[in-house]
Amino acid sequence: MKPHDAHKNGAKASRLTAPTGLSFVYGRFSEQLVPAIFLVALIIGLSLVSPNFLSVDNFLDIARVASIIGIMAVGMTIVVLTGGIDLSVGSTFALAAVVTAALIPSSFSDAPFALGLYLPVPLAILVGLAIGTLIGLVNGFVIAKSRVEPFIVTLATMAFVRGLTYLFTGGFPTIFRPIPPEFAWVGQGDVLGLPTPTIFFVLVIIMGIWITRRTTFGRSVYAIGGNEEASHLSGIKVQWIKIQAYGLMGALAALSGIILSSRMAAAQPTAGLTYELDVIAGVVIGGTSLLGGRGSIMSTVVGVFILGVISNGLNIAGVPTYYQYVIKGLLVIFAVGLDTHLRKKQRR
Amino acid sequence: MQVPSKKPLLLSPVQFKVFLIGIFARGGHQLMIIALIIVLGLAIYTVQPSFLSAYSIDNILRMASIYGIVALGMTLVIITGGIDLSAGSMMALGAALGAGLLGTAFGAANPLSFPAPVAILIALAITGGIGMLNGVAITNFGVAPFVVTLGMMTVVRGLTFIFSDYAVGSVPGSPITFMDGLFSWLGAGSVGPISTAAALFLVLAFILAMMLRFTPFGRAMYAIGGDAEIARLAGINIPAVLIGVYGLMGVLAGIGGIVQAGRLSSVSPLMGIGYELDIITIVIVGGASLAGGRGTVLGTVLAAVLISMIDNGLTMMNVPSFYQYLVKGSVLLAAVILDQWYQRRRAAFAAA
Repeated sequence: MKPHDAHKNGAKASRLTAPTGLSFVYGRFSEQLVPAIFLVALIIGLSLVSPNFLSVDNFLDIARVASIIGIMAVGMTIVVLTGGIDLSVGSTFALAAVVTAALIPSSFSDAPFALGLYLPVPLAILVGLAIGTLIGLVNGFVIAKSRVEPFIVTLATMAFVRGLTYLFTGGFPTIFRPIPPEFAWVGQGDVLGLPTPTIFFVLVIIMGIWITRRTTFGRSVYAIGGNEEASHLSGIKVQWIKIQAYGLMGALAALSGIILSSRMAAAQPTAGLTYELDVIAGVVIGGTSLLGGRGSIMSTVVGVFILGVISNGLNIAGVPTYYQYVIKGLLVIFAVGLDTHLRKKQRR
Repeated sequence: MQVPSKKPLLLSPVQFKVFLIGIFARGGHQLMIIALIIVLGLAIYTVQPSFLSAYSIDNILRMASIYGIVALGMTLVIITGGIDLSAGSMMALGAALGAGLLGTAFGAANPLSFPAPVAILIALAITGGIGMLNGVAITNFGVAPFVVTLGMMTVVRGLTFIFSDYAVGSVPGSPITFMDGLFSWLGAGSVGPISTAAALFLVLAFILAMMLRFTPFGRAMYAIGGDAEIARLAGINIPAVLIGVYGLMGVLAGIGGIVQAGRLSSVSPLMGIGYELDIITIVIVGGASLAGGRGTVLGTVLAAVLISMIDNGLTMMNVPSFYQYLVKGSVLLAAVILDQWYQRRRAAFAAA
């Protein structure tokens, strides 16, 4: 049989035996299956260990806490899908937060240097988002043009942006007296009983799914992660797509930082230290490959919730903090190890 | 030719060009770092003359050695195409174990008490063992080194806290403060004209350089980093090599932590947080590639000195610490972009 025929028959066969029912569900969600089962098992296990775990209030709490990391993790998924990584998110998070806070009229800080410029809350937030986007675009530009590994470029901008944050604030936190209600709403309010950070998280997830599934940009992201050279040869503007991906990442890191500063009613220059590792952990636990080209936003959401449920559950179960570190680290290795192992088996 | 040379030249122009290309092609990166060390050193010296005093140089070398010893291990890991994010935590665990097992710490609560050499050996065996576990997880489960060591970073930090509390038993998270002759000699003493830390660093660097260059184990690291599949087909036992490399990384991180502990006579369980990124910076500035297969011990040694010199010089010039972040970030980026340019030039040279 000629290869051409084989291809035709294969396509026909698969259309005739299109999966239905359970196998359809399996086909659609097989990517997320292992992490999702892991998450469900965790929830069941923790509910048995501590009866207080299984309550609506607690789940809302988990959702609120997970939103901060989750919003960044959506952006990180897109970056990782291109085969890149962004270590500077924690610093971007802090810089956007302190700049936004400083622009809000009732803010106060001991910093020796003051902007002396105040904007209405929505505009201040927009400036923060713009700064985050700008940092991301610079990351993307350097990565795309210099061809230096993303790990190193963003490691450098991580130090650089953290330095800018310290210089801007003089190392002092920015507080509000009092916090404007519009700004407080961003991190502390709720809509229909759901915390606002979670609403933002859900919106970001929907946007992320739409981008990765339905837009040329999103499909190009997968293509670049799969094979950069082939994508380039098939006419995808690889450099421009990368710049956009990092720009989006920067904007989401800024959004997350602004939400946290509103929730804390203070913007700390040390905010977001080592968050990059939590964000990356969430992405990887979901099953997105650091090599690029494989993974999805929904996987990351599952990954972020696995981390959130572990932290929350261990706290409720009364496990001492230090033992939590040990358990959390082992679970990260175990979750990814299991996923990798099963994937390898499936391929065989 | 109309221009006969009067004196016989040491090298003919052609030979000289070949010689230059040889140096440029083989050691260009190291030469660039040496040039940077000299230029920056003189620049800082003109602003702050005490920068080149014996005391200051000794200080720089001590700092360079502590980071450098760990960076040596990271060099091996990066040559194989891996990465180790647990290095900072591993330093803290090594230091806490070494100091805590002495049983002589201020407010010591643990019943264990070992002589210093035994305590150090136990500490290094444990960090080495944890490093090997990293290697096992990477080779047996096929999980990316980034993920395994990210998880291990948290695990080891937790273990450090647990052990510190066990050893001191006061407020959770309090440091282990101790006094010990061997530790002080390692961290603050000196061998002849140079500090013990620097001597240790140079000896370790020499051993590892020889190992990388002349032993099958060392050559296998480059082979794996270059192309793991080809290395496997060539009969290299990849799991054994990787487990060995990550084990060595653990031991070297432990040594770095113990030297640091000796220098301060105190171990905080928070020691070394964020060091992993500083150490990776040193290795990358030293000319290694995160893609694997490229990197030298000499480059790492020089980069450790360069970075420590910049840190120290900025402090001595009274530059606020906040600016040091900007400088660090810029140096890293500049070094890597320069290296990219150099690699391209080298390729052009090789073609010519």
